[in-house]
Amino acid sequence: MTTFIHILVLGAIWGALYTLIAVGFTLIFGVAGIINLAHGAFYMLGAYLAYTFMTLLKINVPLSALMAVLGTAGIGMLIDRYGIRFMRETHVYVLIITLAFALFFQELLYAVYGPHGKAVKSFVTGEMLLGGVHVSYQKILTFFVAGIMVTLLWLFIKKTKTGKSIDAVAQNREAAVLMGIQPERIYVITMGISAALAAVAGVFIAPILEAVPTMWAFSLFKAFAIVIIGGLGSIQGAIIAGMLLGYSETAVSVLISANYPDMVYLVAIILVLVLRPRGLMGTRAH
Amino acid sequence: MEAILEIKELSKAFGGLEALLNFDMEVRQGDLIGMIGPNGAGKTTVFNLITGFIKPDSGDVWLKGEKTTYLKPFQIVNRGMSRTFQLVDLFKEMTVLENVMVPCFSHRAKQRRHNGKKPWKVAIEFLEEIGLADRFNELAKNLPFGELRLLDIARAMATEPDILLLDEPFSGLDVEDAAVLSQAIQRMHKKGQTMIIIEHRLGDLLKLVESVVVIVFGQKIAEGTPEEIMNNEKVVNAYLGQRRQ
Amino acid sequence: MKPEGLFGPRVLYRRLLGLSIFSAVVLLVPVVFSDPYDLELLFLCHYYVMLACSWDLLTGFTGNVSFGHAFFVGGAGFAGALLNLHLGWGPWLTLPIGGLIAALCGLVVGSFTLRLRGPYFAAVTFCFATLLYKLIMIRYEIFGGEEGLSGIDWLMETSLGNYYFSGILMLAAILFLYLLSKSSFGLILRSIGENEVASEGSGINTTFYKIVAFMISGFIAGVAGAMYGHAQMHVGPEMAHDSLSGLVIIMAVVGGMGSIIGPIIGAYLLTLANESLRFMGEFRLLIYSSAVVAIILFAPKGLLDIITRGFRRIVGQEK
Repeated sequence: MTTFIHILVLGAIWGALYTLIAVGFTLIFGVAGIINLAHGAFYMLGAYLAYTFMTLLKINVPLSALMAVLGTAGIGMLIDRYGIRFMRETHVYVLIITLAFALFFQELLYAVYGPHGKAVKSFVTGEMLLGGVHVSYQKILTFFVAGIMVTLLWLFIKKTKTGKSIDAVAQNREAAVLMGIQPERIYVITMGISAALAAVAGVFIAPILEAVPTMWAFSLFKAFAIVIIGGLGSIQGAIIAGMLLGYSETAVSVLISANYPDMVYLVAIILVLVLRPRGLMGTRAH
Repeated sequence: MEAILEIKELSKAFGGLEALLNFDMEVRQGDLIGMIGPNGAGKTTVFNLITGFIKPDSGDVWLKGEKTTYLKPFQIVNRGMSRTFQLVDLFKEMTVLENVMVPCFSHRAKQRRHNGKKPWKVAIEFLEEIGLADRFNELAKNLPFGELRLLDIARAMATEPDILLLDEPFSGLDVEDAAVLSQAIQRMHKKGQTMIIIEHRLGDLLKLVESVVVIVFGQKIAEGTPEEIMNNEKVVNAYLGQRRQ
Repeated sequence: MKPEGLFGPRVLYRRLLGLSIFSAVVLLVPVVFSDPYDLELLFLCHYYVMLACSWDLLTGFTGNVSFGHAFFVGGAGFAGALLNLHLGWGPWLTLPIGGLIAALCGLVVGSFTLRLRGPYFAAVTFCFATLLYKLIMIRYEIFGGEEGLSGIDWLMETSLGNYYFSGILMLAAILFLYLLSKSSFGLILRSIGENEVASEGSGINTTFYKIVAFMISGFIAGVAGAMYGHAQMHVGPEMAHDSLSGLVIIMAVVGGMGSIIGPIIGAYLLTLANESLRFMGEFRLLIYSSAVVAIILFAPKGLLDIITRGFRRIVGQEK
């Protein structure tokens, strides 16, 4: 019974975190049609900026978190404007320049902070007992923040003017242009939002896992896997697949062996794509 | 004379919507047939089905006495039926010559080239025939739209087809380009090339072809010479009536 | 009237002349740099050239970015190492067999990715390589886990021997890939990359060509992987790691993909730069990766494109 609750609780927490990383990845694909391999680097930047502000500069938690998220969003927008815009239509180029940026940030953080993990103090201390399983408040906080961020994204896209423009570009760029929307502006904004969501995940993960310069790769693969399984460009798909991945990984690692969780998503990607080349809930073709 | 292409009761539905229903057609050597109908009537579906790009739900296609219904597109090309595409996309970053050289390396074209002629020389000949030979070294993406259409026809011709299918070759062309294309089609017809042409610009088409097939809502509603078709009440009601809306 | 570029024999001969000069340089280098350290470094260059050029045949021509080249390298490297350790087979057997095993891997990945394009293709190629990596880690009793397998027979007894062995293998691979890329095979691969539907509509069996490209690419990468294992007398999981796949991509792109020649430039440049920046200490990789970003930003078509244009300007052929 405890095992079951363990899977239920931890699976939900990891699933929510994965979802938070993956929605930004799928959002920028759905809107601008690009696979952003620097997405994991945004998550990493979020964690490292949080460490910089909180641990090194001793700024309070809310302000540090805000600055880390906004800073990452700004970097994302700059990359989109000066790195991607002029070759946006060439998919190969976008894949490679974003990969190069990811490696650049890895080396930058390595040079500045070294290879060792950087820990951030928990935002909230203590833990609670959920059906016989100890869960730290930090993890529970992360779960709720992820849920709130995804909900806010949803409301933003459906309710605000900018959000509706983003949705319009994702649905049909030509029609959006005819309505007077400037797609390039939308792309930059979307990249900022996408980077911000990844950074939020990074800020809240920093106290749970230490920040290391290679953490971008792991999160990128997870996001990629989720988005492929859920269908590229589909936010609902990312939520479902994200939770699915969180649960299945936790289940595999608890029930079988801690060695195998990664096998789950690797095999899942191959199977899903071979059987359904556009993902389980695949959207538009690119 | 025996038909070289026979289409028997071909049907295809896309999720409940009947795109084509029990479609029959026969094509003989040397025929120049027009296929008309309003947008979305199922003309391009016919092409996609008989060239193997879409699999039919039922019915059969016979090409020169061989059943080709479930063959792959490249196999059908190698058995003698080639098509052009409505949205000419071609190989944009390749030169005009290279565009026409690709089909020269198809199984069929290689088999027919017993005399060991260089592929690029063969390709140049096809370009000369369509009037693009002097632009052979230009990148395809730099060609104006009309010439791109001609290039697509040269590409399809280079597979040396028994039947050539042209999908809306006139759409998007200005009067001058359309005249060039008409002449090219007439030249090919005089050489005995069998062709089916899809079009909804009736003016250009009816002057060219000898017989017309009319498709409306996935069904063939009439077949005959251009005059017969123009005076067919069903056609005037269904097709022209709809165009007026 | 004769088409320039592609099938014009004169241009082909001129390029082949360039390749022979390059071969002569490769063969004569040890006369000047005979230090084992330099030779080991140049051996690495040969290894990376083989990887980047074989990757280019697949991705540079068909336009589908493979993120799993390490699958071939690691697969063949470990297969060769196991054959050597357990059956005592020497490099003369393990290199070709490693290559064949990698070609078989190519057949498998190729069949799995037939209908996939763009990101989907990239994801599946990546997954295959990562699965192999995980397998090496999990089944450490066979593959040695993190430490890999040591005690493999050496390739040649001296660094000079390794240099010549790898150099000749590299030159053979370059010549083969280059001629292949200029043949109808290369033309057809490019047409598939541009527009697969039109290529199939031109009577081309695109499936066959894509799989053959995968197998050739895998074979060459596999031979290189097995060679590397013997030269280091050790194979490790990093040979199947995605960072190797990423490095190969970046080398090919920095040099200029779709040309076979470009990746040679990229592989040499980045391997030598990585080493010569060593005096920068901990900032070495930062400078290295900033340079890569800068090159991709300012020369998206690669260095070969810049060099060719510069050369044309000097000779006065600029249009």
